[in-house]
Amino acid sequence: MISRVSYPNPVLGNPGDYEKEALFTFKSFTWFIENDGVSLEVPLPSINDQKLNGYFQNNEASLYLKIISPSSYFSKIIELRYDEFIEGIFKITFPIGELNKKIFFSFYLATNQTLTLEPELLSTNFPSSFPALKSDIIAKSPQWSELIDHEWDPKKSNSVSFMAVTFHIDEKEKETSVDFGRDRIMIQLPKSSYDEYIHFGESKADIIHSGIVFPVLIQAVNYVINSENNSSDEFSEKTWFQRLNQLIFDQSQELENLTPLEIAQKILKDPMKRGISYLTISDKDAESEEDY
Amino acid sequence: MENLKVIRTSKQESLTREVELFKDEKQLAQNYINSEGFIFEEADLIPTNLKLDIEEINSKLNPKSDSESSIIIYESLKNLNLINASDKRLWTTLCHKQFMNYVQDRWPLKDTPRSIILSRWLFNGTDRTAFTRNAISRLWWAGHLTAEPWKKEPSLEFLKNDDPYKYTRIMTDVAQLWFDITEREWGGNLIYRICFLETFDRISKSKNVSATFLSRELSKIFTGVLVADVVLVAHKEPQALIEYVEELTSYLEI
Repeated sequence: MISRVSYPNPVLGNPGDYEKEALFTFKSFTWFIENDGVSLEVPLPSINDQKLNGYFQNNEASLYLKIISPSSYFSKIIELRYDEFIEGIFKITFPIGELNKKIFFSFYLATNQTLTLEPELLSTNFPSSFPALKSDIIAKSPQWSELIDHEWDPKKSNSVSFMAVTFHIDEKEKETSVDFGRDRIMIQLPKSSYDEYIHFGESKADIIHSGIVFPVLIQAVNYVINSENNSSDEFSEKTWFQRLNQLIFDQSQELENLTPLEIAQKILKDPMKRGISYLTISDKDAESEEDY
Repeated sequence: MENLKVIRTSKQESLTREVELFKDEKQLAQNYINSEGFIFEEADLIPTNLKLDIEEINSKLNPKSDSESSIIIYESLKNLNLINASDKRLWTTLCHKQFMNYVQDRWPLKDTPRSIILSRWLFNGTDRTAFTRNAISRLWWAGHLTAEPWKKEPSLEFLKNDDPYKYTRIMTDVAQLWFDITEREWGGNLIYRICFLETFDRISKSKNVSATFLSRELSKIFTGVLVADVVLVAHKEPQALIEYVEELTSYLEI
C-alpha cells in the first residue's frame, strides 16, 4: 500500500491527487551484475498524463532515481534528464559493492523551473492548474526492490544452494525439523541420521532431493508466494527467501503462475521421478549383485 | 604479516546455533571468557588473500577508545572491497580468533552473555543493524563511512581537513550519533551523513547541550528535511544544507 505524503502540490502517485487511471511507471528494468560493478538500464517512464510527459520530454522536469542499499549503507539520488536517454535507455553504473543484497529504488519527477502545471488527469478535487516552483515533486513511482547477490547467480548456481542439511545440537532430539529463520534454510536431522547422511556422495543426490529437499522447498515456496499477499512476511529479509523470490518472480516467468508444488518440481527438475529412477537402478544393482 | 583464513558459512551457522541453543548461559559465558581464541579445524577454514599484521593491530586496539580502534582497523583493511566487508564470516573469524582479547575487553559479557555474544561476536538482526553491532565490523564500517569524505565527493571539498579521520572521531565518540546515522535511511547517503556530522560538530561547539540529546534532535530535523524535499535537497549544495539545518535549530529549543 502506498502511504500518502503531504506535498506542496498534487503529485501523481500520491493517493487521491490524480484520477485512478493516471500512471507513472516503467516497463521493466535490466540489471547487470559484473565483476567491477552493477549496472542498471532504466527505460523511459510510461506517463499517461500527456501534459506531465510533455514537461519531462521538454526538459522542464527531470526524472530522479532514489536508490538505497541498506546492507552497504549506501543511498543516492541521481538525476536522469530526458535528453540523456540514448535510444530510450538511461544506463547507470555503480562501483562494485555500493549495491549489495536487497536494494530498494523509486523514481520522482520534479520540475527544473517554475511552471504552471495543467495536468490532464488531475483529480477533480483540485483546480485544473496550479503553480509549481523549481524542484517541486510532481510525480512519484512505487518503490521496487531487487536482489543484488554477488555470491549467487540463479542461472549458474545450484538452485538449492540456499539450503543446508545439518544436525540437532541437542542429541536427544530424535525428529527432523526445519529452521526457516536463518539466511539458509536449515534442515536439522537427528545427530545419528546426520552421521549417516554425511557419508552419502553425489550419487545419492536424486533420492536426497526427492526425500529431503523437495518437501522443504514446497514449504519455502509457500512462504514466498504467500508473502505477496501478506504484510507479515517474517522471512523476507532472509537470504534464502530473497534468492527463492528471485528464482520464482524475476528469473523465469514460467514459474510465476504455478502452485508451490509445481514450482518446487520445476526448480528441482522433477525430483519424484528422479527418486523413483534412483530406486529402480538401486534395485537392479542389488539384483545384479545377487546374481554374482 | 599472515594471510587470513576465514571460517566457512556452515561453521558460521553452527557457531550461531550453538550459542542460541546453549542451555547454561553462565557456562556459555565462561567458555567465551576463558578461551584464548577459538581454534577452528582446518576443514572449517577457507584461505583468503587478506594480509594482516595481527600483532601490530592488537597492540593498537584500544577497548576504551572506539575512534582509535576504528582508525586502526580501517587503516589495516583499507583495501577491503565492500562485498568482502559485507561477509559475516570475515568479522566472525576476527572476533573469535585474532582480536578476541579486544572483543572480550570492549564488550564484557556481564548479565546477558548470550545476547552480547550474538550481537557483538556474531551477527544479529538485519544487515544494517548487525554490521554496526559486531565488535570488529562496526569499527571498519565507521571508518569507511566517514574517512576523508572530500576525496569521495567533490561537493564536500569545502570540509577538507588535515585530519583524514575528523568525522570518524566525531561519530565514534558519541554512541547516539553512530546509531542515528546507521539506523536511518539518509545515513546511507555520503553527503547527508557528513552534513549531519558537520552540523552536529558546529552546534556542539557553540551550545552547551548534551551530545546524545543534540544527536537525537538533529536526526529528527534531518529526517524531516530529507523525506519531503528529496529533490530540493538533491540540488542543495552541502554547505547550504548545513546552514539551513543550523538555522532551523535556532528556532528550536536546542
